[in-house]
Amino acid sequence: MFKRAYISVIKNKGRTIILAILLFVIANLVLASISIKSATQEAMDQARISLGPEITLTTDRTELFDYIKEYRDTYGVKPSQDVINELLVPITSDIAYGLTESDYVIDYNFSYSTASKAVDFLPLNADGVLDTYNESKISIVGTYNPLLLDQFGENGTYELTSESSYFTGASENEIIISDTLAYQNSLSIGDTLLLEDFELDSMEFTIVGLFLNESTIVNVGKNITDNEVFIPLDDALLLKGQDPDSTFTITSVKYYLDDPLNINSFISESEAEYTEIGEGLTFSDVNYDAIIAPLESVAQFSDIVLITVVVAAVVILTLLIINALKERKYEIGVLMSLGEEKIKISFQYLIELLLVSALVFTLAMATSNSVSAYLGDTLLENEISDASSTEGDSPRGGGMGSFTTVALDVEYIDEIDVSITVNDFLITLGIGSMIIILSSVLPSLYIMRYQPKKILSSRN
Amino acid sequence: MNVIEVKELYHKYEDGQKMRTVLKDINIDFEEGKFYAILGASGSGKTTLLSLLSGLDTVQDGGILFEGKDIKDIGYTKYRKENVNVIFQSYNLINYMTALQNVMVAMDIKKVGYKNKKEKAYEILESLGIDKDTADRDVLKISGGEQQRTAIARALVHDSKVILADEPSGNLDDYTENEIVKIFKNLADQGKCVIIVTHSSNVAKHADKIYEIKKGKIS
Repeated sequence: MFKRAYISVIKNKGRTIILAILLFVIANLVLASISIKSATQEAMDQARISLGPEITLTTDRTELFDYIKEYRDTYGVKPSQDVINELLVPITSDIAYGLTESDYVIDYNFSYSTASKAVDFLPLNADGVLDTYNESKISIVGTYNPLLLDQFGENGTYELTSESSYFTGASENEIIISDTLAYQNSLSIGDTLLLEDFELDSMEFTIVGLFLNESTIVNVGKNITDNEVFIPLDDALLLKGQDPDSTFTITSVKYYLDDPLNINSFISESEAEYTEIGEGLTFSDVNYDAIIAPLESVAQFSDIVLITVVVAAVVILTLLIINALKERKYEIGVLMSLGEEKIKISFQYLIELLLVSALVFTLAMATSNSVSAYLGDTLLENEISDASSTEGDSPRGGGMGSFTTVALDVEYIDEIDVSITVNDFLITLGIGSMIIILSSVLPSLYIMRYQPKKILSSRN
Repeated sequence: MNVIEVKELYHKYEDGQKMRTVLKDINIDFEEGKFYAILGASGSGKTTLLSLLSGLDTVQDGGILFEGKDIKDIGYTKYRKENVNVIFQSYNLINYMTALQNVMVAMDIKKVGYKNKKEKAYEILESLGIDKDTADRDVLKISGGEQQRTAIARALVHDSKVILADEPSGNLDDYTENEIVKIFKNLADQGKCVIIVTHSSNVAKHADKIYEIKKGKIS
């Protein structure tokens, strides 16, 4: 059987070459799809690692944005703040603390963004000078540790001045304001200022720090970044009438995990535990999502290519083998007349396919690296180009109920290291074997129907 | 001793919309060590009888017994593999293989236990007048007589008791025909049961026993 298969492959050169060309194309496409997919997965992991082990739970504003847009289109004005607040699902302390119990979480920082009224000082207008006509609205961020906020982080645009200190979770009545806001109101570190809730309860804060604002975000309407102030979380909660020692609600929580690669597992675990996550609350992974979007598209494309190639390969190979069987009907009749079992004849043809495949797949190992690299880079380039052309539309949240449209400053992964690994080759070998076995099923049924007498007498 | 017994054998096939009976109540026995010739005109049913005897076609009515056992019970494939060897008028060699490879294919299928199969194949071919050079050529590149000898060699790789041949000299010249007949006669002398279907009275005259089929019946 093996010897017959070998002789057939060697002697029937035309058929073998056609089969080899087809299998060569299949092998290259399968190897390319798999290696691109694994390269994108590795690049996604690298992106995850480079962005650090933190993930932020926030209110999902996507539906709110849609609602506001629709409302504006219909009525020409923005919906009232009360309506907006009703649509926003807050993060309850139960959920916020509950997630800290995860084995992945090693630290966390809560923050609560809201608005308040300046009592004995004035906010700034869009030109950066005191706004004497406005409602004196100040954006408040209550947090355990301001330095852990994105604004003060590595990619943030706020930086504390050298003489500043900052508050921690245990601090009370301390505030960090912008250097410009302080300057315009003739305030400095150690001075006090009053913030008032809209219920007219006021709290006094001592300035412990000033930050330099290097933001390039365009100030739109009332959303002026220099009017953002940072106070301890408990004070922010008290100012808005919440009890920090009981159940309260906040606007975002940043969780620090043991390993960046555990973020997806943490998200899945959290979504399984709290139905609110995914329905009103969401893990904000903006930078990661933006970075991996082109990679995901490439990975999805490689999946589609793989499925298409497998299906097309099975169909084409099946037809090719059936056609070859018709040509080889006489040979089958001869073998059967000698007493060969039909199943063994089917196996012989399967072995022939496997012999050609083994040769072709070895050759494909040499060529697929360049094919994969070319395809991978071209696909990624196209995807990045598409992503870059739409990124300006991405909204970024500001205070509660307010947002600013900004361009995401994302460094895309513009190159993936596509190289065939042993694992890729083994997967390809598995898929290749599956293609060949599936392609042999229908032709085998043909062989089972053959009768030696009919074949040989029709020939004679 | 009877090696094959044919009992009340009938056979029909579809001819358009009608069923045509080609063999009617055939009852014959074949013994080891004898050379049989089955004579008949075209369409008499002699090739159908050979197909049934060789297990290439299935028995519809009646029975064919090999050493007392119905070949249906033995299984047609197993019967072809282990109990009979068939030689065809058109040789039925695998045309992309050499003469040697054709012989060795039969060795593999019939699972013969030679130590050095290649040498044995050469030896069998040589005994039939095919030298090594000819044996190593593709069968399409050798003469008709050499192809027929190759087909016979293929039938000799397995030590089965029955050799069936369908018009084995039909495509050959008189000299080669006589050579082939000598080979068959020789095989019968060695104890095999050789059954030849032929329309040649020249071949038939060498047989130990001649059966003639007329309109599907043995006479």
